[in-house]
This record gives sequence, structure tokens and C-alpha cells, in this order.
Amino acid sequence: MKSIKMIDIEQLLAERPFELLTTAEKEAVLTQMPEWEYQRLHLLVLRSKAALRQSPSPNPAIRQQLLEALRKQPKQQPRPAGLLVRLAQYRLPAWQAAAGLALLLVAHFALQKTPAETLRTETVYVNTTDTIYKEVAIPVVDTSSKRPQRRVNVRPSLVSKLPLAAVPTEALADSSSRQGRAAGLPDTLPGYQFSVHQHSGRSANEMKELWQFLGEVY
Amino acid sequence: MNFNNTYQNFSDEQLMRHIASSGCEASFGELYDRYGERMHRYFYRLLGNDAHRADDFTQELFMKLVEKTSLFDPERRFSTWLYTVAGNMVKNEYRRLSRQSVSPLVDDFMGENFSEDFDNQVFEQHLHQALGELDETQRQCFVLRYQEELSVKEIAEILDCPEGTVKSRMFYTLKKLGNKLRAFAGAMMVAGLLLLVSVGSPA
Repeated sequence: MKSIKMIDIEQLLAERPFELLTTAEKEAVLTQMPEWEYQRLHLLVLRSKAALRQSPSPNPAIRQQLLEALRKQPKQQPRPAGLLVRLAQYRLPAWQAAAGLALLLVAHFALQKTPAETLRTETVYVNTTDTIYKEVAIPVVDTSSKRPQRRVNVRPSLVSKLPLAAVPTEALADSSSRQGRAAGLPDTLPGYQFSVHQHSGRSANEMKELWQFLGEVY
Repeated sequence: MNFNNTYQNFSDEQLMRHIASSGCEASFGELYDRYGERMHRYFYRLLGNDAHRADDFTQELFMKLVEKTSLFDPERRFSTWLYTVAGNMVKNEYRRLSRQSVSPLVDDFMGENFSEDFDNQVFEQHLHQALGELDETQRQCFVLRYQEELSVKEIAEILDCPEGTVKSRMFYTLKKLGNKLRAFAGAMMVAGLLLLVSVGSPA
């Protein structure tokens, strides 16, 4: 705000005396200086302008000397500038340069080639691990009867080596029985090798063909 | 066909291009006629009212146009460019002289008689002294504005500073000069009043 007032006052000082200022201009002036000071500076400007106009003329010989110097100056033959030089000398506004660069970037991304998608056929092997169990019906002790349940001794390492068919159902049913001990069979734990409960996977009975195939392979 | 008239119609920049391209004497003569006296006055004022030095500096300035035409920047106005080059020459001279001291103006002036003071020549002397006490930028501003009568915009371009800075500098320079020439300005006001009274009174 202060600088605006100064600007106005500087212009006013050079143009008009205080009496010829408008009321608003007078008010603006009076915020900066009293009236008598404005008048003093106004007169100073007028007097200075008049005094500064008075100055001696330059020596007339200077003009001639300069023209002679110009005559002696080797003429510069304008050489046709090469295309590259002219291009290098060409001055471009900043906004044009920026716009050109932006256009180049857009063009670069727009025209960038994506690799063509070729289709070919490949043989893949799908491997699924599944559990297939064989259902075997075996006699088990009916625990719902009043007869007390006997203890079963187990030697899993031996049982696991035996083929399923070799295990007598009696022994499986009760390895601690007299018959089982007389046969010299190892103790087994039917619950260990054969589950009587629900299994995850699929029953071999459901996939008889597969079961047959596996039997042939192994 | 009058060639002089033709060259008078050319802009400063066109003339400068002629000089640069073919060393055209008529173009140079026309430019010198337009600016020779102005630049001489500018140098005269800023170099202590020394006419001989002003001659030397004017010649040197225009020799630059002859020998180094490539110095001219075609993007700029010729007049402001010329004042800038001249201003730089003056600054270099100030540096060379390490700003010679100037005797204080006001003390000398206060003892002088009013009738002797109210004289253009005396005022010019005192103004010169008062200008000598300003710093070089203030002095340059004042001369460009009130002697060369350039616009604030042109001065800002020459001094390479914002217009607001030029205006503020001008204001403070005027106040400073007003204080230095206080007695003289007061005398001017009294003289003006006396003049009015003498004109108004019957013979």
C-alpha cells in the first residue's frame, strides 16, 4: 500500500502542483509529506528538468571519426549458414519446447509395439494325488454286548509287513486269544492298520476299473 | 529517391541489423544522429559535467557498435540496450575512480546570496553536486527519468530491476535531493511569490 502511494506521488510530483491535485490525490500526498514539502519537491523536479536539458553538444568530429572507422572495418560477408547451424541457432519459446516434448512422450507410449500373442499347443500332465481305500469286511467284537472287552497287544512293525490276506481274522479280532497264541502269530492292532472309521478319499468300490488297473500295474 | 528519408523511416533495430549485416554507413549515421547527442548528455551528467570525457565515452560507445555489432541483442529494444551499455561504462569508470569524494553541497550553499542562487547555472552546479552525493544507482535513475525523460518501464529494463523498485528509488532520491537542495528550493518558492506579487501590483 505504501509503495502504491509512493508511485502515485512520484508521478504527481513531475506533473502537477499541489493546488491542481484532486482531493483524493491531496489526501494520498498528505499521508506521505506536508503540502509545503510537496511544493518544494515539485519545484525541484521542474527546475531539475530544465537544468538537465542544458548540456554541451558532442564534438562534431566524433561522427566523422566513427564513420571512417566503419569504412575501415572489414566487411563481414554473410556466410550461408548450414542447416545444422541454423537449427542450432533457432530460438524456441519455452512453452513450445515443453509442448513438443509432451507430444513426443505421448507418441512414444501410443506407438510402443506390444509383442504379438502367438498360440501353440503344449502337452501338460495333470497330477492329482488321491486316497483310494479298499473296504474290507471283518468281524469285530460287538462292544454293545455285556461281555467285557479284552485287551489287545500290538506290534505294529510286524503287522505292517504282512499282507492283508495273511492276517487271520480271528487274530485280528482277538490276538490275545488261545488260538491266536497257538498259531504263533504276532500281536496286531486292527485299529492301527485298518481303520473302521470314516476315511477321507474315495472307496475302491466306487472306481472298480481304476482298482483293476492299479492291480495290473503293480 | 532520397536515401536519408528512407533511413529515417527505419526503426532503430532495423538500422542496427543493416549495420551488422553490411556495415551500412547511412544506417550508422542515422543511428548516431538519433542517439549521439542523448548519449553525450547522459555521459556528461553522470561523469561530473565533463564535456571532454563525455566526448570520449560517446565515441567509445559508438565504436562498440562499429566493431562488435554482435553485442546487440535483437530481442531487446535498441534504445534501452544502448542505455544499458552506457550505464555499464559509467559504472566501470566509477569503479576505476573509486568514487572520488565530492564536497558537501548544502553547507556551501547556505552561505550564498539568494539573488546569486536563483540562476540556472548556479542551480545546475548545485544539482550536479547534490547528484554527486547520491549513490550511482540513484543518480542513474534520476538522470534517466528527468533528463532523458524515459518511462519507469524503460528505466526498469535498463537497470534490470522491477518497476516498483525504480519508483520507490525515485521517490527517495527526490526526497534526498530535496533535503540537499532545501535552501535553494525555498528560495525558488520565495522568488515565485515575489514574481506573482510584482506581476499583480499596478505599475
